[in-house]
Amino acid sequence: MNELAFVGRLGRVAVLTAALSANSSAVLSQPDPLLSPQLQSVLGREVTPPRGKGVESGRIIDVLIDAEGDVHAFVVEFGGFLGIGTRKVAVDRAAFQFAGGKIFVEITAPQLQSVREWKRGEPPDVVKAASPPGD
Amino acid sequence: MPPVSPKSARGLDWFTFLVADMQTGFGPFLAIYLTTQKWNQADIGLILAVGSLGGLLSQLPGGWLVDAAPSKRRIAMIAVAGIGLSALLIAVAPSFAGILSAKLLHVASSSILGPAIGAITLGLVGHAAVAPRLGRNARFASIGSGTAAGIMGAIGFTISAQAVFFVTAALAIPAIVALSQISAEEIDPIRADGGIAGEVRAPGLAVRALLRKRSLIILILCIFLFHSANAAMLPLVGTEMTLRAGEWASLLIALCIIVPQGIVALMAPTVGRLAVELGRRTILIVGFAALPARAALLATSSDPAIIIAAQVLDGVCAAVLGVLVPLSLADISRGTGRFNLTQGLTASATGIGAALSTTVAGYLATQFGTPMAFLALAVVAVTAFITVLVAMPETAENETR
Repeated sequence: MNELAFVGRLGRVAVLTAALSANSSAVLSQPDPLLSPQLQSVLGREVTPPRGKGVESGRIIDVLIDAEGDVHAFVVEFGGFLGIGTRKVAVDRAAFQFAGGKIFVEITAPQLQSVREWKRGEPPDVVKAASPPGD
Repeated sequence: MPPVSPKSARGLDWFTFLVADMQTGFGPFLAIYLTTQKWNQADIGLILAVGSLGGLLSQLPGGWLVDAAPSKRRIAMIAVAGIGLSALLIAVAPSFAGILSAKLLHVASSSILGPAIGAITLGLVGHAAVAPRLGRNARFASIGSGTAAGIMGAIGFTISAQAVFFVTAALAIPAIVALSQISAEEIDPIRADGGIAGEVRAPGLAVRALLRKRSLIILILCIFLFHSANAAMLPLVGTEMTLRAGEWASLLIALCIIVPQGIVALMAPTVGRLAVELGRRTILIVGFAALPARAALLATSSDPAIIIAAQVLDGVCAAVLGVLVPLSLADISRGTGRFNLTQGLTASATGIGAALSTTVAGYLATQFGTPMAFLALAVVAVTAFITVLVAMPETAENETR
């Protein structure tokens, strides 16, 4: 429960830093005394898919929150070469694991292919976690 | 007219190669880089849209400026420096103001650099020898962007997207060195504008006379239709590949990008030679026939082998357009002193067509599925082909001298 609350806060901070840094990256380069050292931004972070499941690695490009500000999903841009053939997909928060400074996402190719692509201003089609975390 | 020295010819080879290298760094890496710099999607989209619009608006002034510039070499040098500076600015100042200025500097410089390369080429070799030389330009440009796609892809993957922009900025130095190898005395500034030596220019008259030329209007229409059909094809293929090919998708998409480059590198000089032997019209018809064939292949099959075959046809199209567009413009603008303005005109037609293509095809793909989008593109491709076949006149003069 504590863990979940922490994650919620993490997400809020990530959204906040994303919003701040969009207009001035200088803010980010200076350590912010309000942020505790464990907190970090997820925007632009690489996510590693499970090996051998037909999914290419991706990059977090947005964070989806509910009305209370709790994080429900991350938008990940998967695959592509030189910007062609990328696929932006919203993935359930529970499908992600954060370990050893890396971000892992538990998702299969069929899930990735059946979901509608994420578009700003449209209700997102969220990929559910393939298996419960810590499985 | 004095023959072109081997030193100048080699300088132009390297210059076209290095400029293509630099331009490859910009497009695809900017969005990725800005994401790693914690930019949000709305701001990235805004910058890209402002860039496209700025690009469209700057093409005509860019061509006009190159016509007006007394030294084509100097204006090309300024443009390359502008692109290098823009890359450096992107790498060191990823703030909104920094990226916006860098993007605008890049589009403005590019709109000068494109016509300037054509102007240097025509000024260097003259109308009689321009066809094979344009083929050679297209070959080196294609090798440049193919090499850069590979190397910068690797740099972006192993080091960082930021490093790509440092490399792009650094490439301005060898590009300027290559440009300085081209002897300024060998570039005839009047020939470089498609003018006639000794003739006093009446600027307004020349432009009005040009715009009344049927061949120019038809060529611009064909180029517009071509890019309306062409621009969205590869992105649609990429989306399909990602959906179907799983872990191999990126590799297949890379192949889809590299294969046409290879074909252009192989074919472009031959295209230049054949345009002299068989006439411009025949070669244009072949190039415009390849586009609907490619659209048909892509609309009916999602087999990777067929898609690669379709990309071979893309290479044929690119080789023909890459050589025949500047060549036809040199023919049409001959004696007007407005060659570079016509290059700006066709670049605008290309930009508008490409923007329309990706927007409409993207909409059709989400509403009615990808095959429907390909079908629509195929219809436009057929229209472009028929327009060339029925309306495009031969632009080469009987005795090419």
